[in-house]
Amino acid sequence: MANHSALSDVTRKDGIVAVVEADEMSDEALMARYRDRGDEADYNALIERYQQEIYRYLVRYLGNATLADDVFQDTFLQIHQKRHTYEEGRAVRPWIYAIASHQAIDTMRRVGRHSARSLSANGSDDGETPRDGLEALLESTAEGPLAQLQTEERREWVRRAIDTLPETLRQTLILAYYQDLKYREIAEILDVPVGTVKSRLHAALQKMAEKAARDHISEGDEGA
Amino acid sequence: MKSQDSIEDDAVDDIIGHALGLIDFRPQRYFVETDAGSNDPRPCPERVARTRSQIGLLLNDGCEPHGSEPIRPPDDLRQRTLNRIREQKAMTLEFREPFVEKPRWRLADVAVAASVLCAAFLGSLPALKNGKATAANLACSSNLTQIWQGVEQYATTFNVYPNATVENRRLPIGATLALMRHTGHLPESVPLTCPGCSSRLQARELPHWNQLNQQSEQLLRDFSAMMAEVYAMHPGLKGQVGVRYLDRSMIESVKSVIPMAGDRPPVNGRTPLLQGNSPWHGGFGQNVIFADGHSAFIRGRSIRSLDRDIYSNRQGHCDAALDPFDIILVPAGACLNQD
Repeated sequence: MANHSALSDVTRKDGIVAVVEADEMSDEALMARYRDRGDEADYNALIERYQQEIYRYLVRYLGNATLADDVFQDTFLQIHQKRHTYEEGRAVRPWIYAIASHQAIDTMRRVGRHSARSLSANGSDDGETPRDGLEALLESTAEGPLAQLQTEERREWVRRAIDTLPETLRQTLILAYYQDLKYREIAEILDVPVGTVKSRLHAALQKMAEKAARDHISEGDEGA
Repeated sequence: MKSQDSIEDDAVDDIIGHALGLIDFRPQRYFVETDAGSNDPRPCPERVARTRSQIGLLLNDGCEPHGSEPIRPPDDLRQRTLNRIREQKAMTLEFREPFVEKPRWRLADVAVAASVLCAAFLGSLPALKNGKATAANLACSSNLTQIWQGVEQYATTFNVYPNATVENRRLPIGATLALMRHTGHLPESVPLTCPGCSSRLQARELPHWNQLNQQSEQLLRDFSAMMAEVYAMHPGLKGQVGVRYLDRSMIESVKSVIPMAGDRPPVNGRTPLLQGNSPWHGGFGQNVIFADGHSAFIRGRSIRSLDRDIYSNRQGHCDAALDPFDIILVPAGACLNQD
């Protein structure tokens, strides 16, 4: 049975007032109604919609489920407290991700977690890294260096490698690959141009490819 | 104009974007790119698939959404988050309460409360007064009982009731108390004044009996002044010459109506007034202790219909009793007519 407070009065073109349930509303309409009315049912619906992906994002970004749990609650507490700043028509998903990212960064500073180390001494963290070789790797039909590893070994290597990426690259990579967000949404979350998102993602992939090649070669040497 | 490297980089980014689904396929964007000269702005599907596969090898950590290992939030996370919001709302309400609520007490409320308290206080005043009067009455009755015990012990010892004026005509009636103290029948701590009067006198403060018999005028005047507020006493019987003792056996059958001591009557100097109750109980009456040991608060001056005034003998004088049945109490500071 639908909760009465999760219903919305919508005036149609013919002047008839229709009652709409929260489940049938877009994120934007739901957030606008929560901003205006403050109904707990709307807030509950928003948490329900986003808890899976925001929690997953925070676990990956923070690398710690306990911290992710705390930051998730802080994020939605912020959404409640700052709901009056939500602008009509603004996309809710990037807005929530931006709040979650800021909360996560604050938490990492508070608990003293340092930024991941750079994979390479060369190149900067802003994506201005050399781009040679990535195209060849991505378009290669040959088996890559990681293909020779066992599945579980490869996954463990991926986790460690991502954890060592510079903070900005790691964040961009997580948002782009693991959270399935668009360039435009990532740019809005990080408050940078779309071009910067592309270059950061390019640099992140480049560093991952370089690390894969290097680790494969060094393992091969040790084996020899 | 873009360099060749830059164009190639854009192409790679475009392929990555398509491979990871990062590009919005909005109609407007599609037509703009189509107008730019290419028949299809989207990269070759085979290149995109190849890139997606290679990126998968690089980035798939086995967890959702590309892997099978789930990353699920705890079951109670949503509820705990909601609880935090509720706590936050409650704290906000609590914080704002003093600012948004009206003052708890308005002037009218204070006035009503004050008037109710005043009414309650005024209403309780009579009860308080009554309580105080009752306590004073009980204390007075207790004092008289202690004096009566002394009188009774004296009478038991000597078969007559104590009377100092029989021994010394010039002494006031109150000297009988000094005599009782001298004979050891009045304990030192016995109060000799009513709690309702202004002065306090105990048996230990009385002058010694031998001193009183020194015939000093000044001493007698001082002693009479000291006795001014002390309990009135039975004056004894009028004799052919002077005063004689009240014999114990004479009043045996009427002890319950013969007063032995009581509150002092209203006086003019040392002379009792003909009307009015003792001043010590608000003018409402006087405590009297009778020869049989019972005490009573007498609201008028008459105890028996045959005897109209407790403070004068049947001749209407403040003097000794005419006979054993004459009811009379004389102020302790008064002297009797010994003619």
